Amino acid sequence: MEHIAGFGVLETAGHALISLLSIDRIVFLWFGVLVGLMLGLLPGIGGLTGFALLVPFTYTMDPIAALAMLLGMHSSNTMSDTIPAVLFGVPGGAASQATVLDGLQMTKRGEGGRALSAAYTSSLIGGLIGALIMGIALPSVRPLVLSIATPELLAMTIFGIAMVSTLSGKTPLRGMVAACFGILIGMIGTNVQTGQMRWTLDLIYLRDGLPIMPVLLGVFALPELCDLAIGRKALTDKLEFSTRKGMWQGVKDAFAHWFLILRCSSIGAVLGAIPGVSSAVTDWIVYGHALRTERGADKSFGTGDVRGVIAPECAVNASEGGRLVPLLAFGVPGGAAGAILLSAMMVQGFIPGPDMLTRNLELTYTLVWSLALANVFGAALCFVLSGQFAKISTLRYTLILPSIMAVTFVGAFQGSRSWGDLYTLLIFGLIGWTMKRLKWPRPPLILGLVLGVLIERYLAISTLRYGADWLTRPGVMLILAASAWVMLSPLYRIVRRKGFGGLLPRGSFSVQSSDLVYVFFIGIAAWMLVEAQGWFFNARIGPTFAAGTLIVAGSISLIWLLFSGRGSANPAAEEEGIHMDLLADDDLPARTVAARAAQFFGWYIFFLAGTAVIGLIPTVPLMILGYMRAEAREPWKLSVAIALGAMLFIWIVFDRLVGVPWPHSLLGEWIPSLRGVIPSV
Amino acid sequence: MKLFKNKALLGAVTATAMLAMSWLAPAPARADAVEDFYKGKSVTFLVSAPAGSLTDFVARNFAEHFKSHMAGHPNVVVLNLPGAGGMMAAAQLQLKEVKDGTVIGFLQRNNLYVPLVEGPKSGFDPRELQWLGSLEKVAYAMVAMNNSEVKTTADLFSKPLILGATGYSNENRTLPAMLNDMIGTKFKIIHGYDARGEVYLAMERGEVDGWASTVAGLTIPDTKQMLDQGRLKVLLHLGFESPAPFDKVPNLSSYLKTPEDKELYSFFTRSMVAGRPIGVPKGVPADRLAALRKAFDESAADPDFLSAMKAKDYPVEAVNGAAVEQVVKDLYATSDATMLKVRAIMTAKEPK
Repeated sequence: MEHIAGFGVLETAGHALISLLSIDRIVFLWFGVLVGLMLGLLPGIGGLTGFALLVPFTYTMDPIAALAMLLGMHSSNTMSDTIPAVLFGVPGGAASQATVLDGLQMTKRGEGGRALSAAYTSSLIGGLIGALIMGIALPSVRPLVLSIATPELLAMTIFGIAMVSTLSGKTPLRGMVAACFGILIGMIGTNVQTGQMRWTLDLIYLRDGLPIMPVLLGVFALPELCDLAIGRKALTDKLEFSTRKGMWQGVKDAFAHWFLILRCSSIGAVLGAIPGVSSAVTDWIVYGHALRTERGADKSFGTGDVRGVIAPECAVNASEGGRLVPLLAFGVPGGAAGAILLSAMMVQGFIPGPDMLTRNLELTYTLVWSLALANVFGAALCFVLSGQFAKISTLRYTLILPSIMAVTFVGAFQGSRSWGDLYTLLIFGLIGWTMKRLKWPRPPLILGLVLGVLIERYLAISTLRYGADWLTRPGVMLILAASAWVMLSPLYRIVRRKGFGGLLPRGSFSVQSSDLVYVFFIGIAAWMLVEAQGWFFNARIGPTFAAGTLIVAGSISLIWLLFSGRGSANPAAEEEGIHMDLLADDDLPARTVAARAAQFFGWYIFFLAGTAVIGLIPTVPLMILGYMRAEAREPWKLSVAIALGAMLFIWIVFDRLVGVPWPHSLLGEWIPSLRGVIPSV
Repeated sequence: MKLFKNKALLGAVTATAMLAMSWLAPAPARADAVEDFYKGKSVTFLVSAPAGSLTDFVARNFAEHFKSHMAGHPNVVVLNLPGAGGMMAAAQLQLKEVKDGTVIGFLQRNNLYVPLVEGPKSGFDPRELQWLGSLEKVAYAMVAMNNSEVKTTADLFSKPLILGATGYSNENRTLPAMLNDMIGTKFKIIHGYDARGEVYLAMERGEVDGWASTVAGLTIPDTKQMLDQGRLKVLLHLGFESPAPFDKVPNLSSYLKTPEDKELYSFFTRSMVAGRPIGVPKGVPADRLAALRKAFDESAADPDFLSAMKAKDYPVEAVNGAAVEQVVKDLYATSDATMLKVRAIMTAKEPK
């Protein structure tokens, strides 16, 4: 132990770097980064798929090269997912949803190159900060992690969900409804505490709960694609900057906001170290942090403020470093992908635990260096390409939209490789699009979805183990106090400015068809509430609380709205602040919007039907061809080329490389001999 | 009359005759038919665990050996369909996959008894599958950190031991909970941890003192290290034998005595014989099934496969298809009275 201080550590870190920097190891690190970048580009697949592809090769490799490759892949696939997020509003992975908010707006202004370059510069710095924090903290991290018990983890997740009040913008009650809706959705499935199956409708698909990817793609990707189809034009008319100038501007942006990067990266690294807090919420939590602390952010965020891109991007990359702490020091993986990294490590003969921080410290530093170098390689490559990628945003929508639709469809299917994923995508696509159109904030839904069950689980363990005493632990009291402040301060500001009277509506009564959204949410919550009452206490307490809160918040909001006097000469003043979500920016008549949206979702239904009848892969070119011809009379040659290209791509990646059990089609039932010939029939 | 010149020839003829009888048809014709069928075909291994996991590693390794032992040497493709504790893959295999012997399921042991507990809504019935065998036997043992109050097996009955556990219906909660009722152990069980990693972390920070681990889990490097260093100790086998390498540790045979308790407890341990069951849907022709079973038996005994698994500390303890079928049969013969008690143990009670 004595050599683990001062120079000893530096020396070890230096040795580790030298041993990594041999050509045969760096090549594999590079290769891992390239695979990670390519997978990150595709919505719905990411680190998990990458491990499935690469791990089998590592069994016979040199351990350092093997782990460098795996870490390179793992840390770089959260970088390239930014590209579809910024350019099309389709998050390539769970970690880039928050980036969509300001990134897509910048693209629409013609500043896609600037946004991407700012994202990559801050990704790089964030990744390096994450690796640095980890490198410094590692030798002494075990006592720190051991002092954090389940009650502290519980308090930290509560802090995360308190961000809902910030992420709801000027519609706090709607945000509350969305968050509770997310919590309820997240609670579908087998309850760990009791074995009770909650709202599974006797479907095997729902037993493990809804897979997160189809939900995310539905709530965030489909609405953007749908609005692209409704707008019927390219994302942007002209690029604001020349390629080089845009890139340079992005770099300057990142360095001008160095303090923001420092803060967000530190938060990201700490959040990454908490098992279960995935990057799907890390990006929103730091986005909320930036929104609260940055000057003028409450007016400009969501309208294409570059800080809204910088904050989540650096934090997500920093969190990859944090995630390695529990993995290396205790063998606790942060999620499914981490679990596979862990088993690959053990196959290579590395035993997570105290040895990684003493006897094997050099190996551990090799991993830290791998992470740092992967960030440099990955970010540099993306950065170089960012100006070129930005040009895609000027293409006609019919050239890119159908292919992206096909990829989201296949990506959603990776959720649990079952028909249910496709329905989930479509249902949440409709919910997400309606929410976006009618100005319901969507970020709280994701926060609730990920954190709700985590809070329920940690709360159960804490009370089971410590009774009510867990509340008196000093760390818990501190974090809970901070959560209360984060949660209540927006409300406090309103009350201080306007008095309690400011909260009351004073207008005449009116009803609009858009109020039906309330009926939908409240109705679902009421049904779930009633269903839950037949369950065991521990299985129903969480749902009862969430559904009850939803109904109360929804009802208050609805009543306020009904009496707000909207449309009259003297409407009640709207609350101040920003709308915490993207806005639909077309001014088409409602009838046209509805017709074109129906067309858009119609294509998805065509996709579903095609998959059922002739198989998923044969449907891909049919749908793309159909879309391009029917929507815009694109030339046959071009349409066929794109359709076949997309099919070939999907076939190679998903059928040949990944190996996916496709849903069986009717055609295959009728003519079984086709099964061996045409994939996915 | 001396029909056979020597014993070896007699043995060979007898074996052929028995093989032929087992296929209920003249052997030579059928053998060709099976070989012809599989030649050039692709056989799918539907694995109920995610790609890259330990189970997947075992399945892919096994697939390689299976290919060389199977008649016709078909190509083998591994597809992963994780979810619902293996139930996704099990139901897919029973209801949707072709029944011609080209799809083989790598399932999990809870698939053998959970449908019996839940009834038809589970969406799967293990009696609707034909089993090729199982690659692993499972056994549980109680382990505790050395800094806990409980130092010996006898202490389990006098001092409380706080246990970590995962899900409510998981064996790592149900087995110790039953022992509290049956033999008077004093476990306080905290369930809800995500997986073994979280439980061990809770053990290290003193949140819990121990847990019911699988014996195979004790050979995983980080846990083995804790045992070697004396930071963790094995106190009691939760079965009626004391398997190696902890054969000095007492087991339940000296504690669990009444027939009713034994029957109830055995319901949970019965499926452990077939810890990693492998099957095909009913309807696969008998000759192909026989060939698949033979290939399973040979692959599971293949020295190359065994040494590859040993190198990864994965203990292969194979049983054949008939043994798995017997496990299913025994489970489904459980008395209604016992089933009532089983359901009570696997579902939560209202708090007092």
